[in-house]
Amino acid sequence: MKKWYDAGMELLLKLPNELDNVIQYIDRPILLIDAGSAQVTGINQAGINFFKLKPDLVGISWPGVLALANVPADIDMSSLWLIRKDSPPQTEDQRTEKLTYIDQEDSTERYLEFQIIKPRDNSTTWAVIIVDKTDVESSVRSRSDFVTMASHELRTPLTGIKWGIGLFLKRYQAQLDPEQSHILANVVQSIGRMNELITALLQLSRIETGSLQLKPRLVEVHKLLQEVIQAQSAQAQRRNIMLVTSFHQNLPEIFLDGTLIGYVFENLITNAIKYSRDNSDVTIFLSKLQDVLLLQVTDSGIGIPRDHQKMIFEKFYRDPSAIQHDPNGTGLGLHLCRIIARRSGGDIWFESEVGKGSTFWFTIPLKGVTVAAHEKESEVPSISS
Amino acid sequence: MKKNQKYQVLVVEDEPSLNEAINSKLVKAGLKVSVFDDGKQALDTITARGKHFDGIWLDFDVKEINGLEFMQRFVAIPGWESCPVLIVSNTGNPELIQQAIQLGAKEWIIKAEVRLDDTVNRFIELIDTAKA
Repeated sequence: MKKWYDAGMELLLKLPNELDNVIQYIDRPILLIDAGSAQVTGINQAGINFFKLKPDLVGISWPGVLALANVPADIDMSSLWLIRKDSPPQTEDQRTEKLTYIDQEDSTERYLEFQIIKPRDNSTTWAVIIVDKTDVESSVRSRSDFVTMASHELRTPLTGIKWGIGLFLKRYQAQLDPEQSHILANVVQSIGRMNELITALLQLSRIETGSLQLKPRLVEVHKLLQEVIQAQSAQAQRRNIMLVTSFHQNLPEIFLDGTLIGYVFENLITNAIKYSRDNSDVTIFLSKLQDVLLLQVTDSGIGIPRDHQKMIFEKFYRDPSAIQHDPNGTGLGLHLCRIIARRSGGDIWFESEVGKGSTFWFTIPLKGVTVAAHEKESEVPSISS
Repeated sequence: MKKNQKYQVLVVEDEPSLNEAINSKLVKAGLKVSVFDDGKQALDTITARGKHFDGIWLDFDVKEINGLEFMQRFVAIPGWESCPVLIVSNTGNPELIQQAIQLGAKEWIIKAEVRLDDTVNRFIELIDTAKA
């Protein structure tokens, strides 16, 4: 049998010969490409099957070979070039690129991930491993569709319960004894929490399925922040927490999705208040740097234990001390915040120390969001948030 | 930090909640604090009444006169060099920062970049250094 590669020996120089066979039979397409000529110089069996190559085929180029995998001709594949023209020379050994497209043959939506591996030495042979994520993506999608459907279905009866209790309280509150009042107050609180959870789940599944569209408009960010703070001030006052604020007063209007950015503001500020000690300060600063707006929210509350810090943006994750402090959180707030921050071209990070408090920083690019071409096209059927 | 107790500092900040927070943190650290919400009044206190300060915490964007104008007038006061000025601002404009430093400000802190507690510590450090 012909070796699975013709060139590219350099890449495997230090590996035992047995690896040839392993790579040959591995079920992911693996290609070796000469960076100078962009010619594919080696391909394993899975690659031959993937591209439906004929054995006598010669002289195929990267990433032109993807046309054989039914990628439409008008898809921009410049992100897959080994050496990208628009960025400085890459120093990393491996990067991952994604490609989503409609298969020209069977019209299904396909998700491919490309691990592009730079040679370690001076060789010009690169390796590309293709991971077909179509099945994974479609299962995420069907799970999210289920969550969306279930959430919608739950919301209808919940609205009924809320309405019924509201009406009951309006008519009969005066006749209730303290114990009855207390029980009903708990019920009302639980309904509120469930409503919150359903809203967060809906947001999340929209984000996961990509049906959450950014709806940018020109936003006065400091006014948006002011509104959020205003809405939280009663909660803070109740526990004698002072909201110390200072905003840049002369900000330009920025093209972004105000609802989503407002969601991030609200989350960071309610968290800061929630995890603060009574009679303490929460500081909120909004500064204008060269390319970004920077928001800082600092509390002097319970803090996040070091070994839980890297998990706090994960979906449904709550650190044990936070659960103890407030058993009712959804574990979705910060996860959504990070997705929104990144979708908006910004970032979110924090520093925290147990017993001293936490500081969260959130950046928003001054140039606003750029809506990708494929998002613009599907703007019409988007779901409102 | 016993020596802090002698420091007499001036704070110019027009946001009432922040103004109050800075004041309470500096007082807690043992400093004597005079707080102003406008730069002109603050300057008058130094010039007309000849009051001496060991350090100035200046919000760049306050009412009446901006930070640059404040600095221009401040450095005309004889002996100003012994009193470090820390500018604290929501602006990160590099040209303004450069101008302010050239005029004699010791340091420029962008509010959202630094925690208030850390800014307080930095302020005291600047005075310690000036005294050393």
